[in-house]
Amino acid sequence: MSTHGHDSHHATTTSSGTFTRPLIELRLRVNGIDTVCVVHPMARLLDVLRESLHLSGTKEGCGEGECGACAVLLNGELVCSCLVPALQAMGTEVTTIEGVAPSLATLDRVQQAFVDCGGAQCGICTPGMILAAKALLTRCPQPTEAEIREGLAGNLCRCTGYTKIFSSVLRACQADGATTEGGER
Amino acid sequence: MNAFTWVEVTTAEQAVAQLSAARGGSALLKAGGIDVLDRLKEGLDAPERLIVLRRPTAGSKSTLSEISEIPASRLPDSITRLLPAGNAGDAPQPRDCLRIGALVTLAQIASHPTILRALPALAQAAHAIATPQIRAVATIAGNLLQRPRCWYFRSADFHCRKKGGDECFALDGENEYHAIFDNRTCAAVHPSGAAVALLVLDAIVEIQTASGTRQQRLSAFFVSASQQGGDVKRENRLEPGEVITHLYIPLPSPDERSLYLKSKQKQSFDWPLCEVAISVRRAPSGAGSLLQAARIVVGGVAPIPWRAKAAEAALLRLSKLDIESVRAIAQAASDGARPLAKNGYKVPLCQGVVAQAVMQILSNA
Ligand SMILES: Cc1cc2nc3c(=O)[nH]c(=O)nc-3n(C[C@H](O)[C@H](O)[C@H](O)COP(=O)(O)OP(=O)(O)OC[C@H]3O[C@@H](n4cnc5c(N)ncnc54)[C@H](O)[C@@H]3O)c2cc1C
Ligand code: SF4
Ligand code: FES
Ligand code: FES
Repeated sequence: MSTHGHDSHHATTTSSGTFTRPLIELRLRVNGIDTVCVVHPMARLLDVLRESLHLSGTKEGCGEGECGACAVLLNGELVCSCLVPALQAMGTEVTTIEGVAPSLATLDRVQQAFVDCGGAQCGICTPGMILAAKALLTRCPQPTEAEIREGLAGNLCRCTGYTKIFSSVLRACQADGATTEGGER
Repeated sequence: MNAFTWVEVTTAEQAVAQLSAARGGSALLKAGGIDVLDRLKEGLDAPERLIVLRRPTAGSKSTLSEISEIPASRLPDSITRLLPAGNAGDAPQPRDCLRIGALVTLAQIASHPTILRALPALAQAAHAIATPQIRAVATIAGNLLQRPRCWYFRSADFHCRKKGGDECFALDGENEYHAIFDNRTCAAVHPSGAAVALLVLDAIVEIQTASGTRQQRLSAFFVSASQQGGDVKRENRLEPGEVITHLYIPLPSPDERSLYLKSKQKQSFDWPLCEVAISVRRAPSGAGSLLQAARIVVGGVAPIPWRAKAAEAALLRLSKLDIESVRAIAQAASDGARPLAKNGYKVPLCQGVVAQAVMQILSNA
């Protein structure tokens, strides 16, 4: 994946001083772990996650803010990681799909609902969908179907036709923390 | 993308200083960066310095990222003198205003209680822009100042007039999403949805300059080529090196209403084919006409957010709501339209959204 051709030297200035070097040391907290990586200043957060940190759950679709496959939470806010320059992520707290489940053995209720309701097919849109659903449920714990459509409007899916995604999110709020077994798969 | 210096600032004064420090070299201001990143990636802009205006880190506060109500008594004179007069010829009346900082995001605007209650056109417009992910990052000033979406302009392969070339590729090319008004030099439509709403709400923009601040009505801010001697390279009256700091919006009186509607190709998020904002002020009963003030601004149809003056005049003459009068107002909304080969559909569409807005606002006015 390209970082859009940063071939030459980057000088980086902050209000606290000037230093010139080609790469920067990026410090951020990813899924609860303090992380330092050395990256191009204009690498996208998406590249940092996938290439430097090998968190490949975050996907790239369009690279232009239209598809939501790259959605992550940045300081709790849902953003497109393809539109966040690495420097902008300095000192932030990022949650990716890898950080959503409470443990290796248990899924988050939104993830479980996607499993139960068949909310994922090829799975490319699923990480972004789940983070968008989590951001929605934080803001609005009992959304109507219209609010779910609105909340997921920035996430495209080419497989499911969306209906099962919407019912997954509805199921997740009904489940109210408890995981449901079986379901209509 | 070229290599550039990244400079972080948290105040408008610092931003102006940095922009002018770069004079001679080129500098570009970035707020949310949604539009700027797109332009950098396509090579439309190749600044030597990127001046990043961001909110101060947690703890310190800045009016640039706040929405606050300013009572008339505390409103600076520089703003008061630009407020609309109650009646034509009167002196401007002091009014309570809402002040929105340049770095306030579209998501903040769409969910702010005062905006939802008192300035619904703005809340609705902000909510209709892009997606939740974009609205969480995109700022109000960035939305007003984003460059047009004309696909020839956005592609590095076409050196069109807006980039200093001598040809408009849209005039005889793929122009289905282009302007139907004022489109002979450059037919790109103004992209900002927030501008359409802010214009019917009489917003005032405050600008940081090298020597202080200046204020101007948003209604005099956007310009098309025909309004500036054929210069198509800019869409507004922000001078190089200046930075928007705040918007002031007079809070409406109880007899005023506003709303915003957007027509698009997709059911889910999409750029508008045509969008409209309307604000009206009811006339006292027995006045003969229904309204004493009306503003209609249409987006997606012209190089600037388009004030539909003939439709406003027809609306002001309205004495009762019936289908013939609405049809006449709608017809007036497309007065002066000169569609290109592929965007003729925008004429009836513009009439349709205006008709819908008029009926909707009068049925709950
Ligand atoms: C998928 C998608 C769909 C979209 N749909 C819509 C839509 O339907 N309607 C709509 O209106 N928009 C839409 N947009 C555009 C989006 O709303 C704008 O790109 C965004 O609002 C720009 O804000 P920003 O803060 O990111 O600006 P930036 O990209 O940071 O800046 C934009 C411009 O404004 C200048 N600037 C920013 N702040 C200031 C300031 N304070 N003073 C002086 N100059 C400043 C910058 O120099 C730059 O030229 C869409 C975008 C995407 C990606
Ligand atoms: S419409 Fe304007 S921006 Fe588009 S090609 Fe013509 S001159 Fe360029
Ligand atoms: S890859 Fe970021 S929105 Fe499509
Ligand atoms: S499951 Fe394949 S894109 Fe959504």
